[in-house]
Amino acid sequence: MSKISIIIPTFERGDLLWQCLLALSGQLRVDMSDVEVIVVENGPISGANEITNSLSERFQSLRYFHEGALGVSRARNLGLRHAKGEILAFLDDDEVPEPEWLSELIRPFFWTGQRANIVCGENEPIWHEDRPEWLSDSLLHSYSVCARWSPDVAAMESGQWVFEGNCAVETKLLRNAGGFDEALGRVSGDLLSGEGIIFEKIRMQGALAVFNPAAVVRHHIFAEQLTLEWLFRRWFAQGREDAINHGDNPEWPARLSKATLQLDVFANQSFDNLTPAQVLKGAQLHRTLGFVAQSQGVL
Amino acid sequence: MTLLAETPSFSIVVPTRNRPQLLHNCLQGIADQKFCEQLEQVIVVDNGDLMNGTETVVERFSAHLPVSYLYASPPGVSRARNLGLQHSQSDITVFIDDDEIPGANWFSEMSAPFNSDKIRPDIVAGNYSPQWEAQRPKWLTDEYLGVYSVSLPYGDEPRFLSAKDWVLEGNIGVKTDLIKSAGGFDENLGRHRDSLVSGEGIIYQRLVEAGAKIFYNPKCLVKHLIHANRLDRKWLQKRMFASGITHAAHEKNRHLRDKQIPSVRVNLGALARVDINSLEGDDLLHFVQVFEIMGYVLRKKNIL
Repeated sequence: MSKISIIIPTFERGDLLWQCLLALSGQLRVDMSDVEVIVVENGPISGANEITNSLSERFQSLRYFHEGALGVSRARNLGLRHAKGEILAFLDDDEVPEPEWLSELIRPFFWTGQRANIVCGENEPIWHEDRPEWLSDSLLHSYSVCARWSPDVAAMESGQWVFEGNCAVETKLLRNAGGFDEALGRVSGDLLSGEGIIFEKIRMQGALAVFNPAAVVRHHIFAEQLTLEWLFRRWFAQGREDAINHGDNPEWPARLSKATLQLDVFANQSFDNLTPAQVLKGAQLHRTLGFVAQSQGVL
Repeated sequence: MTLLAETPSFSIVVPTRNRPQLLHNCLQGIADQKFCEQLEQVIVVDNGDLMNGTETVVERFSAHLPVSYLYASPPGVSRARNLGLQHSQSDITVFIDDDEIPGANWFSEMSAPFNSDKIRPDIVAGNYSPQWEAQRPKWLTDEYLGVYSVSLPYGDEPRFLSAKDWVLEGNIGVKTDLIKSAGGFDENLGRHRDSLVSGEGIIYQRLVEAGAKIFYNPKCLVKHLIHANRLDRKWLQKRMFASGITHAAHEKNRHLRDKQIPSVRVNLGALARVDINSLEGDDLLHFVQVFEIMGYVLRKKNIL
């Protein structure tokens, strides 16, 4: 079997990293002697190295790196530079892989016939607080959970994106594409994501991306994320990503929203008692606002 | 402190940041003032990079002015003003900026209201005339002068202002004890690095709301340099957006009442594609106003 590198960026969340690594050490149906794990601590040093040291006996190879410059894209790129495997798997520190996650995630790379170049797994939520009523199914993607792209393992279609925290890719493809865009990707509080656009670029060049709903990680959704304020901030950030990734496409703002906005009414609208439909509309609106603010360069 | 209670003493605080040439012009303007018997201290507070030439400029004036040099770190104009304020030993502390040059009778006009038994102000605010570094563009009509921190809209006659009136923080004198006891400038506000989020002048509005008397003297005039790089519609747009954010932040701290938002309907999808450099007149005004409101709303809703 080819060698696999698992890259885990982590940011000031030692307890979560511990959970994530423990679950990773108990993977089934995969030969862990062919797997190296790379933990990249991002930002201030806050104990990830002690955690990797104390768990190192559970792994064939568990390496720790530090990327001081903030930004999850930088952390992933540092992991990419040090990885020795032919296949890279990406996992986040706020995720807990199910026992067969890795074996399911890499299986499509060894298909007979056409093999996958990219595999995306499924994320299931760990709710830290009851799921609010306003949170309709169509908003679950905001939390990087419940992709539900297909009921069985299948090639991904256009419009279906790869979870950058639960995916695998051929190392040479990602290296040839230049790695993650460091202008994107979350930098501590700003909720900017979108570095997964790199997988879209690789797919555009003809790579086969496969979704495997059996490659499951469980993904923490914290109480503070279950507020409308957080949701709308996330969607505002989504609009900024759209402007960065699609800003030169003249059709893009039309795709976001053709609606007009009465600014003074909007200013005095309260977030209380919104129906799920209004929340969905509000999310779209904040996405458009993010697009406008980013493309007009006022931020 | 001066021994004569009826003529107060003055300190001038000049925050400065990596602009020794401008600071030189500003200090020269102070040195050229007449009737400066009441001037006790000139305190230059450097909040720029180390060894940026500021200290050399200050030394040049030490024979002509009671000038001292302080270094404030980390950067931040509010922090610099507070440091200057801490070192002010005088009854009145006057704040002026390094990109300003005081006019001929500036110091007399600043001190006269404080010297007067009839006016007895707690704060004296002066006015600002523009000094264009490059040619003033046609689109930059008078209604934007306030955005460029020049030409306050309070007429030609000296008069008291009310708590509703806004003032700028670059040409203003205040009783030292009063501003010290109010805690000085909010260091979370005020321009620092490249950020355009300003608004530390809110302290004066708070003082007036608490009963302080603020007197406006338009003859107390400084020339304010308007940099060539600000003569750009993009700068105006960013500045308006930032001022909306500032206003909402003040409101959160309950320094201000809710902003009266004009009724504006916008098509967001179209807004993203507008090239501001193609706009003039009312179109430009409405466009930048939309961004001011947008900054305000986004901060108010905690998105920014």
